Amino acid sequence: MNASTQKQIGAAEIQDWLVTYLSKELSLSPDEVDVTTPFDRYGLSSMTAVLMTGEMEEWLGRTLDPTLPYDYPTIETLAQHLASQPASKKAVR
Amino acid sequence: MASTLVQLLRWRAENQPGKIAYTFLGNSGEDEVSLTYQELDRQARAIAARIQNSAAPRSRALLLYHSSIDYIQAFFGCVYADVIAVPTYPPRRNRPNAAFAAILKDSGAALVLTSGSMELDVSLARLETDQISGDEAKEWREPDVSPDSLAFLQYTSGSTGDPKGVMVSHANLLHNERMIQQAFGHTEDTIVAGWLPLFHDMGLIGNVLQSLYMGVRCILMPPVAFLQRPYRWLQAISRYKATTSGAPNFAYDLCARKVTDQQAASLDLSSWAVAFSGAEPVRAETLDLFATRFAPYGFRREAFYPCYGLAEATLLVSGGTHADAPALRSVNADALEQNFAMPASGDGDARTLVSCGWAWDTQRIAIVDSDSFRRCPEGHVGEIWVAGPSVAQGYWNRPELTEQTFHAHIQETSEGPFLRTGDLGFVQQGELFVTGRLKDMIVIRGRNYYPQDIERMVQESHPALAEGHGAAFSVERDGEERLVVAQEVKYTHRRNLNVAEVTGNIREAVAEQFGLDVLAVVLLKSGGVQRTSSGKIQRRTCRANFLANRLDLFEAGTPVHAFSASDSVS
Repeated sequence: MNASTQKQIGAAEIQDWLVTYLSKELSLSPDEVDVTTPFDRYGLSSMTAVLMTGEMEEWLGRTLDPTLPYDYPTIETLAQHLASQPASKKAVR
Repeated sequence: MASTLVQLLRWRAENQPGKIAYTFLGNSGEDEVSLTYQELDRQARAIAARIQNSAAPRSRALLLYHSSIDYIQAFFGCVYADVIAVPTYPPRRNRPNAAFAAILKDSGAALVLTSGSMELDVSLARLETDQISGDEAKEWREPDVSPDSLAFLQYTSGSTGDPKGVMVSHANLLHNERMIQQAFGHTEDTIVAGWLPLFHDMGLIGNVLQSLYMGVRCILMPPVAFLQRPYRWLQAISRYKATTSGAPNFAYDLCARKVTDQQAASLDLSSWAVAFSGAEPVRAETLDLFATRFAPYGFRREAFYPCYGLAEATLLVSGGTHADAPALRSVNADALEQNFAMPASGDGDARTLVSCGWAWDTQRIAIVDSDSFRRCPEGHVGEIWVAGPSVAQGYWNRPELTEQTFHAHIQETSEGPFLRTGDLGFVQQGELFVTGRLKDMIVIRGRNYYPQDIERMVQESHPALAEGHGAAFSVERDGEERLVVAQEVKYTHRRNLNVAEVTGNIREAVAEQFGLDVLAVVLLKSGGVQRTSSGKIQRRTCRANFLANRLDLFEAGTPVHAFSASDSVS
């Protein structure tokens, strides 16, 4: 298995986690959550965005910058960013 | 006894040099960094010496920092240089925001104090205080600071186009610190912990300066550490056996909802004696929710300490007895609309209010009719006026606004000057109950309506309507005040919304509950209702946008109100 496959698997799992999280938070069905729609468009408050990073920390088992959703404002870009970080290889269970 | 902050910190550094003043926890709630009084005094002198080289006494210095020990050192650097500190909102990422530019201009600052990591594009002199060596402390020359000297300008949250800097003197601060000590029952055994923003009065005066005043330890963490994991706040209280820690109502709510059973099991909150709640209305439901959730982990309901205050009064105005549980009063909602507090009876809607106690020390509160400036009788709602040594010196460079706001006199007796708080409330049996804001009050046919009540009813009328995301206000039409409701539709309901059904429900609910017809129901897209950075609905901005046809409509292009904007301006 090369590094790039690993990266893709990580991103997909993180993406699924984010879709589940947002669908619960916004009472949507998971297929209604679009991974390329910016968090702001969903009416996600900045407080909820920061809270989300906290729950991701718990899941990934590593610390995350609370401002990540500002820099990576969609599910897709955030998941890709997190998966591309070295620490993520082990963190995703 | 110290009469300025300079004397206060100098005294502590001389008499308790090795005592830990502040402990900072990092973004993850761990990684502690501590600072003794001696270290703080030395770094503040070094920073002050640099400031003295480039700015004259009483010029203004903007503080641009993340929540950190650097900020506290820079604040005292200004104090030691007799330069007026101007705390600003912490930047998102490493750049200042729009409010920064407005405050920069209004304050006429001579320099900006910041840390080396901050990106900043201003023409002002910039001092990176984290790069200054403590060895420079010996260059410091003690300034001639009097109790009346201004210590800092507290910019109040308002629209960014109209910043107002409250002028807070050393005497104001020391008086307010004494009131806080008395009201909160602080002793030398007190331990303060908190995450409140340090650029804001509640964090700076309530946590940082109160600890210095008492000479007790203060444990601080960045606000974002709390928001990311609310558990960290309670964990810090538990770990450091903090006795005083507080926040606005929403934070208690968040903890009750987000802290897991597993997290809660590790907590021991039995040291927590004063859980103050202020800066936004204290809700009885939240008190119940939090007290029930954390009672098994040592939290005592009596620890709750609802209090009232505002930047224009330095910080604290009133609070109750720290050892008692909060006093609740259930009043008749109809009578309250008519400005009268009457116990709720079996029939009719009730509203539960939380007592904010009474004024301490030599501070005084008056409830005054905001039109006639006459005192209201006991139990009648009026504007809350405050007099005493904690009332600040006015708004920076705003003599007219200062005169109107800070120098009000009671009609019959000419008693004064009083600060007009713009908040509404009543006093009953010596206890203050805050009921709303004067400016947002809707008056229709001589009757008062609290917009938040109408908004709540609107939001409950249909599941598609977003809770807390609506604004009710009035506009004049044909010489009559009429109600307008602007309300966001939840993102989740944006498709296939039956607009006629929703507006019908809203009109029906308002008519049924308040007996009012709605001139216009305006449905907005998610995010369409303007709010402040702290989440308060900006009803006046919303109203102005409505009149100018600038609202972000749910259905673009649909006529939303039955009259043109020009009709309303009579």
